[in-house]
Amino acid sequence: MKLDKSNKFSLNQNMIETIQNIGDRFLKNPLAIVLFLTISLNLIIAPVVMAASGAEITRNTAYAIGILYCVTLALSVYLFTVIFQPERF
Amino acid sequence: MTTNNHPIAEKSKRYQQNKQRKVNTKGLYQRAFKDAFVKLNPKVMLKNPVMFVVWLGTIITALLTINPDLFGATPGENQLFFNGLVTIILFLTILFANFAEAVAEGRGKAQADSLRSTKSDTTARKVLPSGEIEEVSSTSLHKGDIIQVISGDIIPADGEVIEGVASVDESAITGESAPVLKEPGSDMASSVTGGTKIISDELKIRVSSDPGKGFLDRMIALVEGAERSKTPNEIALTVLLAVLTEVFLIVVATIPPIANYAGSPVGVVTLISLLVALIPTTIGGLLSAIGIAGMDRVAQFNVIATSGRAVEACGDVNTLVLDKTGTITLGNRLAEQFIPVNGHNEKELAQVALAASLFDNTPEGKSIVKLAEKLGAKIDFEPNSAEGIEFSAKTRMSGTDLPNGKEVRKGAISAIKGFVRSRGGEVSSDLDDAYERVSRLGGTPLGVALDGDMYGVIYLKDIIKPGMRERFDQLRRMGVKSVMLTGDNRITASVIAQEAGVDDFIAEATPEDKISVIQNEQQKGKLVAMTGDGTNDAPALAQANVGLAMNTGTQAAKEAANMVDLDSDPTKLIDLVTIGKQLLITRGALTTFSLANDIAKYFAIIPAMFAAAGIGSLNVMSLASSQSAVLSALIYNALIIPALIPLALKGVEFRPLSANKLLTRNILLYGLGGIIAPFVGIKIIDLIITKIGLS
Repeated sequence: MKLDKSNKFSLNQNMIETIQNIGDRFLKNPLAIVLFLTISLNLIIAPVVMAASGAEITRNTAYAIGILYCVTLALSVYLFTVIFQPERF
Repeated sequence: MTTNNHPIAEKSKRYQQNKQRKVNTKGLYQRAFKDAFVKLNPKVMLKNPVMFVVWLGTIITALLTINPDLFGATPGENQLFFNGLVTIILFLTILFANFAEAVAEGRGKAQADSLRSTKSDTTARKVLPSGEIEEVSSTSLHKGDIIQVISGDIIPADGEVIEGVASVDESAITGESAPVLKEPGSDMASSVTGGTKIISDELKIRVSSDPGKGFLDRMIALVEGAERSKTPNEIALTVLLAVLTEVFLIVVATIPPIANYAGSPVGVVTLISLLVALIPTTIGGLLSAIGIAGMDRVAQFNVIATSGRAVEACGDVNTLVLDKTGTITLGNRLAEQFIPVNGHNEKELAQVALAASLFDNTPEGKSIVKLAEKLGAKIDFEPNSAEGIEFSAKTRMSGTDLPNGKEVRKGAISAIKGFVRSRGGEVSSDLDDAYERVSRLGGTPLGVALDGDMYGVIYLKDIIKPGMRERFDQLRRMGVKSVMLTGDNRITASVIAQEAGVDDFIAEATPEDKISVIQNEQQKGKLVAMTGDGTNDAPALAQANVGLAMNTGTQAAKEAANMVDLDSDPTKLIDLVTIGKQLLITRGALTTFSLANDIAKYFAIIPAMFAAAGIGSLNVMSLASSQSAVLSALIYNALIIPALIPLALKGVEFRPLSANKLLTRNILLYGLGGIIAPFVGIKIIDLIITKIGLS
């Protein structure tokens, strides 16, 4: 079934509203969004970790290592922020 | 003079009394211990990048204590116990750092509490535009309101006296028990501070601050640390520490592939231990405590700094601009001798000097009257029929208009010469001899004339405060130049400058000269400190890098300055330079020590990590096992923080040496010491934990 123009417009509108809604929620409660994004990102990292290590580690370990990578990356970004915008801290 | 009577000794004793009176440190450590846990809040931890890394490491090791195989199987025995020990040590490291900051803050809070006790809501008598008086709460007073205070009242807000004369007890603020006279119009005596008590008569005051923005409110907020923001030096050091942490994070994060390749896989807990041992946790944990303690030391000296930046700037000051009278010399110049000229004798001169000083209530004027009466001079006219002429900066003389129409004047020699000539008289040649004689003695010559007849010169003796020469010598050794400003003539100024040991002087200076001296020095790239109390000092106080206003000074001066001395002692500027330098030296010394510590920690952990790769020869400390090496390094890392808290709070002992000598000394003491101490410490801890079977 083909979508007519008005349906397309309404879909775009809904997407924009959803993104705005996520943006507003991020400002109100950033931790929940950060956790969600980390876990989402880990869906890409964990299989890569598992593939790289062969069959030596379990799936849970791969997810844990993936999260550890994300935490290390976040820590590195935080330290760079301190270096370039020290007055914020 | 005995030590007890020495002015500086007395001052020091008073500071100690003030300190004991004001700051109640009871329960300080219990409160600090509690606050150390409160500061574990991640929002607080984020402000300290080094300790935040440790905090995050603690959470990961705690997870690994619960499940040692979370990130895969780890080599080594009894991982659960080892991980648990590492978690506890890391947790204690954070707690010790938070404790150091909480102790420093606790001292400030104790000081703020004692100040707050002087500030209480009172009922104020507000004068309405109709002239009626309405009783309102002191918290509802706004800038511009007129209030009336009577004997026994606590002054409800900061303000300027617009009517009345009264004695005010300012001991709640200054610790000085002697009451201070307040009256309108006078530059010095017209400003009053909220929280002080009126002990006689009554005053009408125009409120000069809105609620919560008074002098006392600002003082409380500052000593409490509520408005504390990082100083430029602290920001610079934070950036350095963040750079080092980032570098070590990258190094540690890239170790596992290398370790796996070398056939010596490393566990996550060991990697976190290595990261914590390498990042500068000692200075990271003590940095804010050092800054807060610096502010606290200034406050204990009865000086309120408007920011930590001002305290730090004291340490960087290159030039001190000081007034002669009251700072270098004792404030009260006393008449020492009458030198007659123009054929007059000493008794005739004393008679005219007495008449000229009759209405002069300054200490100088009173001392002239005393000396004249000692020489047998008497008033030969009706004082009520005479008119006193006040001293002004424009005429530079004062005196009396006598009932018989004659005029007697005393003042600067050039001004008196002009007066004599304007009255048709001539200036005798022996006047210049007397003027030069007094000036060469370092005294102030005051000419005395009756209409066109020059009578002679009064020798006002200036006494240099004890110990000034030594203090200026110390400042010189520290590379700080001192400039003396005085309204005296060039000869007197040069004699005083030489006797006191100042580097430079400006004679016949007007208050406006202060700002030009400061600007000239700043153009040369120097940082300048100065003191002031009058409204005409305000622009110079604002221009100077460190402006110290006297508490007895005007509101404008206090607003313009970045420090206020509650004891109104301008000599304190020299002490503030010392405190500022001590703060910078302490921070530098502990940073050097912290970074030097890394070498020993590196040699403890790296050989332990790569033991399987055959680099055991790097185990220069012969540590028992890889686990004991990691634990020893971490325990040392944690214990060194509380061990250095007293040094951080008290400050490194200050020695008046040049920058190069100080650098050499501190590199030897804290650099070399920082390398040797952890080697010894880690080895001892390793022996102990091996003995008690912790690893």
